[in-house]
Amino acid sequence: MQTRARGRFDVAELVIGIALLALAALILFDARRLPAGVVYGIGPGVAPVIVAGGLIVLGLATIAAAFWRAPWVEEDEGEAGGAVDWTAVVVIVVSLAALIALMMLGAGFILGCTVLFAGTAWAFGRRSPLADIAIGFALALVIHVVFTRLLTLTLPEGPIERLLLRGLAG
Amino acid sequence: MVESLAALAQGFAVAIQPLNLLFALVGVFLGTIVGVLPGIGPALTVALLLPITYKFDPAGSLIMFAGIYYGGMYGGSTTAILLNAPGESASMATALEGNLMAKAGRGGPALATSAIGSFVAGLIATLGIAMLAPWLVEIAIKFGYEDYFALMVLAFVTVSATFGNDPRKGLVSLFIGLALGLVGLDKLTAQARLGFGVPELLDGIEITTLAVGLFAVGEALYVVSRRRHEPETVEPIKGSIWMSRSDWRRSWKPWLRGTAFGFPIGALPAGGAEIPTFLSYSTERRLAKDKGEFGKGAIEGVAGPEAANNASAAGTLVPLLTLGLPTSATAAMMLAGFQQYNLNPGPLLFAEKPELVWGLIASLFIANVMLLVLNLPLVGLWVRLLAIPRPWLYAGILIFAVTGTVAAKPSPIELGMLALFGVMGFFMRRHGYPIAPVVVGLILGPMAEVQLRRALQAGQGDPLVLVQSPVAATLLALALVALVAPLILKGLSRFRRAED
Amino acid sequence: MQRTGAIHRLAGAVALLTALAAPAAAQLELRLMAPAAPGGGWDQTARSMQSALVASGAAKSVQVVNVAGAGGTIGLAQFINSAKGDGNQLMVSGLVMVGAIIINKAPVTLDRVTPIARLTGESVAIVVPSASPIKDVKGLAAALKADPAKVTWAGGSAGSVDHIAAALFAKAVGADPSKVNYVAHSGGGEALAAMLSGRVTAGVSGYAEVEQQVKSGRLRLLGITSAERLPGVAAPTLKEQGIDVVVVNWRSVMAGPDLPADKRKALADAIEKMVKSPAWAEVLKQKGWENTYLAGDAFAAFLKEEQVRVAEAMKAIGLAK
Repeated sequence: MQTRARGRFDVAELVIGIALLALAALILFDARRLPAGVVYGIGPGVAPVIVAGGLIVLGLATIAAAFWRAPWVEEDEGEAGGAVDWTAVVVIVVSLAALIALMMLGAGFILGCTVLFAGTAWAFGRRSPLADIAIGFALALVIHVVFTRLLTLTLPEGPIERLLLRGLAG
Repeated sequence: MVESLAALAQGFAVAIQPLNLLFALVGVFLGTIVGVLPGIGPALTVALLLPITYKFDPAGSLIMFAGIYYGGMYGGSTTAILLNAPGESASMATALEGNLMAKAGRGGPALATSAIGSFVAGLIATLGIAMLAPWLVEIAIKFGYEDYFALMVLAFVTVSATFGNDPRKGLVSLFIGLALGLVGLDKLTAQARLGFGVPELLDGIEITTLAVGLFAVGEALYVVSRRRHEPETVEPIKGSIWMSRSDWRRSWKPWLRGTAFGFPIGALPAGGAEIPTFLSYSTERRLAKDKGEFGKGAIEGVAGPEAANNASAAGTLVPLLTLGLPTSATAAMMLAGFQQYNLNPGPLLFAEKPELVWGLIASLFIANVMLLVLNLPLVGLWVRLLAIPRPWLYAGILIFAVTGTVAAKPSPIELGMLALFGVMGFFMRRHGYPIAPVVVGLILGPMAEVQLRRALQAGQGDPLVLVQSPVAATLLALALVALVAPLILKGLSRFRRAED
Repeated sequence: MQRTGAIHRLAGAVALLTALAAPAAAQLELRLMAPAAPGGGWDQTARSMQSALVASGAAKSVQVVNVAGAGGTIGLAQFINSAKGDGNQLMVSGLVMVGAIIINKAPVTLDRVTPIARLTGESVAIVVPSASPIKDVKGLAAALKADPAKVTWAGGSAGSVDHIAAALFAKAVGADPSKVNYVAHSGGGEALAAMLSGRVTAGVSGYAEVEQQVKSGRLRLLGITSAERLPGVAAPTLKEQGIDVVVVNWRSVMAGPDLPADKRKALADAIEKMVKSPAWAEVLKQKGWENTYLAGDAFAAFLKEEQVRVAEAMKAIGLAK
């Protein structure tokens, strides 16, 4: 939350306002085939229109707020802005995406979690990937054993999990 | 009533036998450790551990069962406070102030007020079951669709307590939540809304996926984006690990008020645990002497919702024991548990098997005590989780979030939503949009819509049904007062200031 | 870790050798999909089967896999992909899935899987609050014919077995099924509360769920939808009261697509062994499920009929085109 001088133009608010209008358009587009009425009472098409209406009003208000700050709104106090470490954010998001991709490709839970753990630790400034991979692997392994063996829940399977399964089943 | 007390005393005589006390302790322990696991709420905890209880005689199993139940609930609150990862929607309100307390080094008092508050609420609510159940259920059952709708409207009004200081931003968050609530098959006509042909979306957005994404993942991203501005580790303990005298003074009233919200609403067949926790949170926020502390970790904001959560769980036992109505997932699991002993909860249970009913109620008391005995000493241990260096702590939290999501729904799409909500939570934090209203909108929106439409349908389309019931009319009037009163008060004070 | 792994693998090899020598059925290592979250009806069926299959010696091990979502159609799609020609995979299914496929316009249907056997069933009860002026099915039929709008029904979710039963009832008594004023509820408890409160005219629910209320006199049971009277249940069927509605919420077990005949037989034999075991009898008793065992081609034919019947009912309600 950046502080800014009264009256300065705020790009983020403009983008958010436009996104809200787009969301409203999407909802209305989806709702056009839903009946507003059913045999008794109101149909599934009514609530989307109400929500979209609210989003349109709020979207316009947010776009307006990008240009003018309403007098009754107090300045955000506390956390001042400052440099954002975008690289770190991207590393974590990419790690999450890698985890999802690994699970879709059938690499399994343990491998995916190891990647996520090591990636997150890297983003937070640690520079010993081998140790972090080992810790992440051990953590994922323990979780996997607890969930699938003790609690009989299923987690995505990959080569490592199948090896485990075969080993333990024997 | 005298008879009830005598029967309850009988139940206690069974429950405090040493072996049964041991069962209670084991149950609470298992319930807590499984409940702490990500994505496993109390219902699933009970489901997973139920088979263990089959091996004992009915009395012993019921007692262990009660322990698992309470342990599972407390385990969920622990992760909400320490990791900002509410395991179920009912502990979302706890996470709001609880996690802020934990970050400020006050995780100990937060966990303690949560445990003691749960204990107090459980104690009062269990007494309530013993004394009032048959009478309360007759009122609860009369609650109609329009009355529920009015209750939701009241809950909506109180959501503004979570808005922060810019009402527009709060409303934007709320409406994003409402929009997410539209996703899925319409409950009354089975038509897909915002499904885009993706079968995974037909069941709607999972509340825990949204909450964990926004709270836990979003926060990990926010913290890492600002890591150069903040110290490397969170200090887990600042000041005493126990509740200070002032913590006690500030907690006991919220406990009682939370219980007063939780028990009766929990007893309603469609009441649930979310509404009382929100109502409790916003009430405490309004009543707080030092309003500035809310948003920085106010103990009242943990004490109230936790008590409300536990009391509402006890409240769901009222329709379960007296009518055999399972009104929550957990209650449905308990029903399955009873059936293992050929017990059929329902109107005949009190008459046919009084010793088991009162034995169960006594077990709930005992389990409640055991929860306190086991968990207060553990508070120090739990809090030390926060001493883990930040890279590992947040990496661990992310693994936690992922595991909970895939354990509930093993699908890449669900994980994709988790990541998406995480990114959304990050940008919302960065631009000062409050997060709680999104989750509130997702929970309350669909409930309000369904009850409204059911009311109109049962009334064959006549909108007057919404105000004809006295309960609904009263609740709507209350909502109106709650909406208008602060504005009038503000206006008056401004007017007075102008006069001076 | 590595050493124990090696030991386990060794043990696995030994087990495999001994298994080869043992009779054919006992070496089955099954993967049983419950296309729902833990705790629900399909999950309970799967987990009960798991214990009964192992206890009866019909299978060596059974792993239950939960794939929740969209009335089981997500699990179905996944099952069709992964279980093709695989003689070690089974999936729990049932009438609810037949309905969900239609409602969700699912891309895959039950035509793709290999039906093994129908296992259990639950009949649907039609009840009215005890204070209701309606005393029997004739009274309900008359009210429905006079004005379907004024007869409100409470039951499970839209398109559920309850909903289908209400629509078939209306159709059978000569009322317009598309005008049925059916109020859908998500959980069993919520619908039951609506019936008990007396706000709705009638209720439709699984018999086991309303049994206690009927016994205590809070609800009046007008009839149940089974074909014949159930043992231990005093209620008359709708059929014997002249209303031709038979609906049973059946649950079944299916195998993957393109299954070779020998593998199909091995699975069918294992299931038959389980159904005839005392362990399964105990499960049925404990859960209050009716035994509706029907296997082989008879079940396949039954499945076809049910698909047609449910599709027609959905059209009549207006849930499908």
